[in-house]
Formats: sequence, C-alpha cells, structure tokens
Amino acid sequence: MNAYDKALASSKIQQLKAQLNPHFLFNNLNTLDQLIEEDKDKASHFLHHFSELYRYSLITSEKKLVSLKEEIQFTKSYFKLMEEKYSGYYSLEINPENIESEALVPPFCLQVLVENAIEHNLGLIENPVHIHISISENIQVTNNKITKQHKKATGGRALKNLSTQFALLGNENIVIEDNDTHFKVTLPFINKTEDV
Amino acid sequence: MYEILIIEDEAPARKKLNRYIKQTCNSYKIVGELETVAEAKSFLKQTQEIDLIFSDIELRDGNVFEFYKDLSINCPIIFATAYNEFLMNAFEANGIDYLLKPYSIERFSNAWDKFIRLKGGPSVNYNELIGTINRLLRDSQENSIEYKEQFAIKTHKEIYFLKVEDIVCFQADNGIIFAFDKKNKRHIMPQTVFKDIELFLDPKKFFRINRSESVQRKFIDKIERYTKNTVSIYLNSKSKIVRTSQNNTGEFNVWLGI
Repeated sequence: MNAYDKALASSKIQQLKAQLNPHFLFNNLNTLDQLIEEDKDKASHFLHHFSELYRYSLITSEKKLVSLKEEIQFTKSYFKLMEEKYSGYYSLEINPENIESEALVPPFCLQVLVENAIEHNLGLIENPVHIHISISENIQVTNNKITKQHKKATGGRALKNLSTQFALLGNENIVIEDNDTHFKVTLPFINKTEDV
Repeated sequence: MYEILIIEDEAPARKKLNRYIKQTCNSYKIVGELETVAEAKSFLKQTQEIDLIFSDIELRDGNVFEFYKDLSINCPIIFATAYNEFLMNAFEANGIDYLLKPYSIERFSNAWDKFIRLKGGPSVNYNELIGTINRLLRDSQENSIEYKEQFAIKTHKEIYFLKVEDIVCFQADNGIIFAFDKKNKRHIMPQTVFKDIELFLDPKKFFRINRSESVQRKFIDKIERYTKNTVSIYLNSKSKIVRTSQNNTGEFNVWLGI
C-alpha cells in the first residue's frame, strides 16, 4: 500500500467513524422523528440527504478520487442535515453554483472542512457562521470565526489527513490561513493526467 | 404547575420535547430553552425555582456536566441524549431518567411518571410516617396512663386499695381471681377473667405463666427446671412457688430475657 492509499484509508476510516458515531446517527434519527410529525415533505428530504451521506461513503470506499461535482453534492447533503438542526446559525454558499469542471478531488475533502467550520464555531442567529466555498483556479473554503467559550478538545486530525493526502498527490500543498476573524483553507486542483 | 427548563442544542429535538411535554402534562410552564453551556450556566446561577430539567449532554460548546458538577442543582433532571456513555455522571447529577434518542412517547411518559412519583412520593410518605409515629406515641402514652397503680377491692364492709407494685402474683381458682401481696395475703379481684385484669397491667411487669397464674417480675427470686418443658418459679422470698405451662415456658424465657 502506498502512502497516498494509507492517507486515504485513514481519512475514510475517520469519515466512517464519524457517520457511525452514535451521537451523529441517533441525533439525526431523532431529528427525523420530529420532522415526520411536523412536515412529511421535510422529513422525506431529510431522509434522502441522510441516505446520501451513507451511500457516498459506500460508493467512494473503492475510489481514490471523486469528481468535484459529486463531492459538492455530498457536502450539500451533509449541510442540509446540519441546517435542519441549527437553522439560521450556519450558512453555506458555493461559487459558482453550477460547476462545469471535471476536476477530481479526494473524497470528503470539502465536507470535512464544512464539518470543521460547524464544529469549531458557535454560530448564532444574530451572529451566524458563513461558510463560503469558492472554485476558480483552486478551491477555497472560508468561514468567519466565532470562538467558543468552552472549547472541545479536538485533534485537528481531519485537516492533517487532508494535508497529507494532497501532499502525496504530488502537486501543491494545501494552504491554511488562520487569523483572528477568519479561517481559510485553499485546496489545489489535482493534475488529472497524473496517475494516482 | 410545573416549571420546566429545556437544555438542548438542536431545534428539532427541542420541538419534540415541547410536543411530548404538551401531550403528557396538563399544567406546566417552559421557563427556558437553552442551547449552550454558557447560557445554561448563567441561567442556572440565577434561577433556582425549577421543578424539572430536560437536558441533552453534549452541546455545541461543551458538555453539561461542566456545570452540573459545579452548581448545586436541586431539581431532578431527565437526560435526553443519543448515547449512554454518560450514564454514571447522570446519576451523580440528580438524574432520574435517561432517554435515548430517538425516544417514543411511551418512553417519555414513563420518565414523566417517574418524575411525578418521585416528586409526590417522598412528601406523602414523610407525612404518613410522621402520622404513624404520632399515633404510636399517643397510643403508648394512653396505654401507660391506663395501667393502674392500684386496684379497688370490695368486701362486704368496705372498699380498699391494693397497690399493683405490691402484687406478687395472680391466681385463678374456680372463676375467682386472687391477688397475692408480698405479705402473702389473698385479695379477691373484682374481675373474673385474666383478660380484664391484664388490660390494666404493664406487660413488661406481669406475665401469664399458665392458664390460671400471672406473676410480677420484680418478685421472682429464682427459676428452676421442673420438667423438660416447664419451670418452677420461686416468688417473694420463696413464699410462693408456681409453674409455667408447657405452652408458655418459651415465651416466659423470652420475657425474662434469658
């Protein structure tokens, strides 16, 4: 197994663990339970996004890279679930909205950054966290920072994994910019012709 | 009216709690719906008048046990969470039940019933207990007042008083009960059955050793084995000797504490 496969495997395991995490799983089922009562269309949509999350993990388990379009779709599904729980606290904007690019990316690379932004920042109605994904000559994921008073102990493993994967893909490294107000990660496009 | 606090960071979970509370409880007021550790901490520092807290455990900005372990919360807490990894902490923090998400209305109302039971339970039992103690105290006082210090003995000429403390024993003979005093003098009791006399006697002092005889503890000089299952009792400087019946010997020994 080469180094990239190792890093990829590690990232996938982490992702699966996150999805099998009982908190994630059962909290989402509890949300679904409420939505069934409240609004059956909403419930159905929620269930659809929830399924997509698990399906994506299964489909990508055999793939080293996925299309950027698929990754964006997956990230949106993930965000929809979060939005149902923390409505108005977080926003996700993707520019441009419709991507023509046939670019390939490591699976989960955008989703983990969105997850991190939600996990590490305490968005509130009056002060929401805006997550912005911008795709041009590279991919930039930016969010404003709202620091939590009580910080959870997190290892930053997702970011480290991402960094390793990109480094091993051979092009450029990812760039992390962290200042007082904003957190920004820049992911380079992968040279498609390169065999990974 | 129950004042209820909800600590839960996910909107649908809060709605579900609200819905279940509405379905289960007739009279309540939601005094707050808090989403973060920071909010909950400052709210609980100021407010003490809460009857029940529904609480998630892991909030977006931390774990609720950060404040449950510091603040002294007096009201019961029903935890509603996805996973039971904090079960022990929950019991240490006034937790009375633990709802695992997604929980059903049946499971919820069980938890609610438990809250009602625990809330109503102790005070009622406490009152009952006090009542029982009072009644027992009263009864025992009444009884001790009822014990006679002396019996009125009638003869054809006079009525005189025989002090209970001087009575060595009672003996029944052909439907008459005689009391023997310490001078071994015989007195005819006005009562004709033991039961009527025993009503006025302290059972700690007098004991029925057989169908027709009763003795006072302080006049017992010694006891001696008579048959396998009976004893002879020497009373009042051995002026009187009586015997227990087979049936009463065991109890007599217990009464004497031997």
